[in-house]
Amino acid sequence: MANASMSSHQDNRLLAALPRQMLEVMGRDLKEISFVQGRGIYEPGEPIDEIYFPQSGMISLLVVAKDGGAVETATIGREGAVGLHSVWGKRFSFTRATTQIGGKFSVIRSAAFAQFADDYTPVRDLIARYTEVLWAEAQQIAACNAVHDTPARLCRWLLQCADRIGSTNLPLTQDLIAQMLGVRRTTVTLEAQSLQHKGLIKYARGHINILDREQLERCACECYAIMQQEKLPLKIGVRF
Amino acid sequence: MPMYYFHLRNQDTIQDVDGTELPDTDAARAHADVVARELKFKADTFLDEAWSCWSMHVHDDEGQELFSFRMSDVESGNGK
Repeated sequence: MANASMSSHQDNRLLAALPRQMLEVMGRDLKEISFVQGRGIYEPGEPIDEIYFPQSGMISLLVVAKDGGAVETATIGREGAVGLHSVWGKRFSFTRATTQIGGKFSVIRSAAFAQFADDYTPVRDLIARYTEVLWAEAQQIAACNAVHDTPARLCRWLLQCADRIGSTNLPLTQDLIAQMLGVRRTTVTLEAQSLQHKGLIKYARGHINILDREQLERCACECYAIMQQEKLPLKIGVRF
Repeated sequence: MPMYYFHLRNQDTIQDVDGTELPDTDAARAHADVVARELKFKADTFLDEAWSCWSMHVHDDEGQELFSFRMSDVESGNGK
């Protein structure tokens, strides 16, 4: 039983990168939890008390505008975690964090993880390295939003989602994608219909199936290749 | 609120299968304008065809066309 649960924590690549004994020591503080789509994790200004490591679901960080609208600034799947910086002391969330795709998550209290960070260099290194990767990604996304057209960004985003949840079958609503790309829902529908017309995806309300991944990669902006999980860390000299 | 559908047409029609709830036709005009600008943002073509080949046709939920315009008449805000 303990082994089975340990292996599910290892579905998260950050946790998997830790020495196995360390993960075993953490075992008693590390919980597994299932969340459905749309579950709020942090709100802007709220204290961060828990750190979430996606095993199969996906979390988006959103900057909330004054008019109540929100735009995605980062998307985190099994390659990452949210709330890691709360190990350095009392921290408040800058963004809204919600589960954009439901699934399983490993959760640990910030105070408990802070103790591990104090005690073990590999844990501190992991946090520092992941922060570097996330920072690089945020810069790429800022540039992408400013210079690339919607279909290229849509293709990039669908591919990233597929990588993050490890499936080409994406439970994504039109509303959610619109928010992620900062465009109207109608724009998403028309762009998704055009990708379907080309045979790249199958689009239905609340669901997108990637049919031709290779073509979709060709239609995506270069940001997809740049931000690929296995490539970006190496590009900036980070190894997990 | 009534539903409005924003289809794109050249020889083919790209259907707005989802539609949008809006208060009235004026709101639908404003919505159509924003969507057209978003579609044209940084993009020279749609489905590999120039914007001059495309027009937007706005329908009510009975399939009646309310108004249409050529996509090339819409400013994209990035000089294209």
